[in-house]
Amino acid sequence: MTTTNKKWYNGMLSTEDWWSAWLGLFFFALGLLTIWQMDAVGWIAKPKTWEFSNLINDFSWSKLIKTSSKNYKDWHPLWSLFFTYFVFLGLTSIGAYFQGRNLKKWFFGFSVIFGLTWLVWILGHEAHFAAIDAVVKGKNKYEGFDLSWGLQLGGGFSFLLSLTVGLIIGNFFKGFANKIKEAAKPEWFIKTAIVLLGIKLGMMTMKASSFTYELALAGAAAAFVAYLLFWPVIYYVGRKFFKLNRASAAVLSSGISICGVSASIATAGAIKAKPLIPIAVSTLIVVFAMFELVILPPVYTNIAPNQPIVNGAALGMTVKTDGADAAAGAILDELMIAKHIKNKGEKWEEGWILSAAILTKIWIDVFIGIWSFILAIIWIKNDKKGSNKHKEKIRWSEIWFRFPKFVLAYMLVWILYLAMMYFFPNIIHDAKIGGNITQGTFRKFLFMLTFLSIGVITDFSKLKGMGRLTLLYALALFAFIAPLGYLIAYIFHHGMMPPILK
Amino acid sequence: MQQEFTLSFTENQWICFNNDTQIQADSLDEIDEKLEHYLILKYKKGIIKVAMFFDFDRFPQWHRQYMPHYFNRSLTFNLNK
Repeated sequence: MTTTNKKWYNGMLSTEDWWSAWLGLFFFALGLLTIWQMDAVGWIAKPKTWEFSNLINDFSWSKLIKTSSKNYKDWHPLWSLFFTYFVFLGLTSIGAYFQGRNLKKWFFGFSVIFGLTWLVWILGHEAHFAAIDAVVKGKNKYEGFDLSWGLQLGGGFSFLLSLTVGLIIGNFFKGFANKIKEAAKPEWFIKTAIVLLGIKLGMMTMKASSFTYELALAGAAAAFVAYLLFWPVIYYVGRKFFKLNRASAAVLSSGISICGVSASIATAGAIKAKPLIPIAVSTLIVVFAMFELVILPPVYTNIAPNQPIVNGAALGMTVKTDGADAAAGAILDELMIAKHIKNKGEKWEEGWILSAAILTKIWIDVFIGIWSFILAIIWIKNDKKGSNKHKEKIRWSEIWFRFPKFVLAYMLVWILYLAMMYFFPNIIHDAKIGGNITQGTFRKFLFMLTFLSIGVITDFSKLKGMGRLTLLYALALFAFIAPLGYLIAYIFHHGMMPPILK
Repeated sequence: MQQEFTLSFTENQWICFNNDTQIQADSLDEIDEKLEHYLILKYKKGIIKVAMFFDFDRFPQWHRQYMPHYFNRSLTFNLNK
């Protein structure tokens, strides 16, 4: 049995990338049914902010969980939770089946990940962790629960807790991690969530179209500039000071400076390196992405609390892998909003900081295929013999096969919202009812699944024996990529601020 | 004339195969040399276009979520020289 890409449509049913597009578009379509007064998404369970002693004194599931829409308010919270489980298990299992996964392992793994994710999500909403001492949407939950202390981290605490639980499983309970790994698919979950974020981008465009276009263009420009600066410097340092061979230096340069694992595989493919090289580099990237994900959001929040969009874009250029970048963006979004409420008493609309992180990364993803294509041509022309005896040609289809398909779905969702805004403005109100749930609860739940899964698959012990590469990676990342990425983000994004909720 | 092959990798060697033959070598240049030899034996003369499709199953399962494509090759062998 082999898996090859021969035709343009190969992989449509067998790759996670395509399945992110299908699943995201399916949820998007379900959300649109509110245009015809059909609520097909409001059943999804969401956690409520609760307080420990209040719950103990008078336990009720309805204090912990609720449905996402009033149309389902009569449902028992546990029924809503079970229904959510069945829907997600069913849909992801269909995808897993077509991707050739072991369904028995998938059922078990997904069920465990779902259960742990929800447990953590509920715990993370305990008022001492999440409630912020400020009036938000007419309520001060901190005062409402009569708290004497609180971390005031908003939704960010759930994300961090989920990641922590995942990392504990992945590093201290490796036998258990192996049993659930079949369903720990952070890239699939996060890319599906990013497709749903296209709805948010559509809504943002309605609210502030010029700002949204500016954000998208600034992200593209920043990503492009970063590419041109990062890659050659890392390649030069790798060759000159770390004595790496051409292939290893090129693969590592793409991995560090562009977009992590996908770029290292694409680059290795373009220069026809032996697969062992991208596999080794990818291991490094996945582990380091965890450091970036944990360290950078709180650092940016505290160093530059008044530069939300710059911080988001800087994450997009620094944190490798889509999953870790989106996860870091989500943490930054929550932490910065919470901090701004505490400092200034006003609430930035959520999603803008996250979108800044994701838009930058998406442009980088798109450039991967093009960059690999160019690199492949350069490599053939500069091979050792320089003769290209057998007239090897690089096909344009290489760009298509490396193009991230979930980006197509993300753009499609965005364009459909724009089309509605321009051509059918009278249906926007109804469309947003379902859209707010899919880009809200659905997306956040997928983020939660991502956090736990990314922790489960990250094994720090894999860094052992990778001395030279690890040192170069750490130096390049923290001494060069992160500061320069921040500078570029600042040049292109400074002055941009998310709208304030009234 | 066009010939299709699947390109794979094991241990430290590239493998190029189809239903008729299997070629194994340390480098792609060597694969091309051996392939040319095979084509000469089979066709004697002519211009043969060769498409090689990399078998992505060679990558570990956990890797495939990041990028589902490695590379394909498109070569032209002029056996008339």
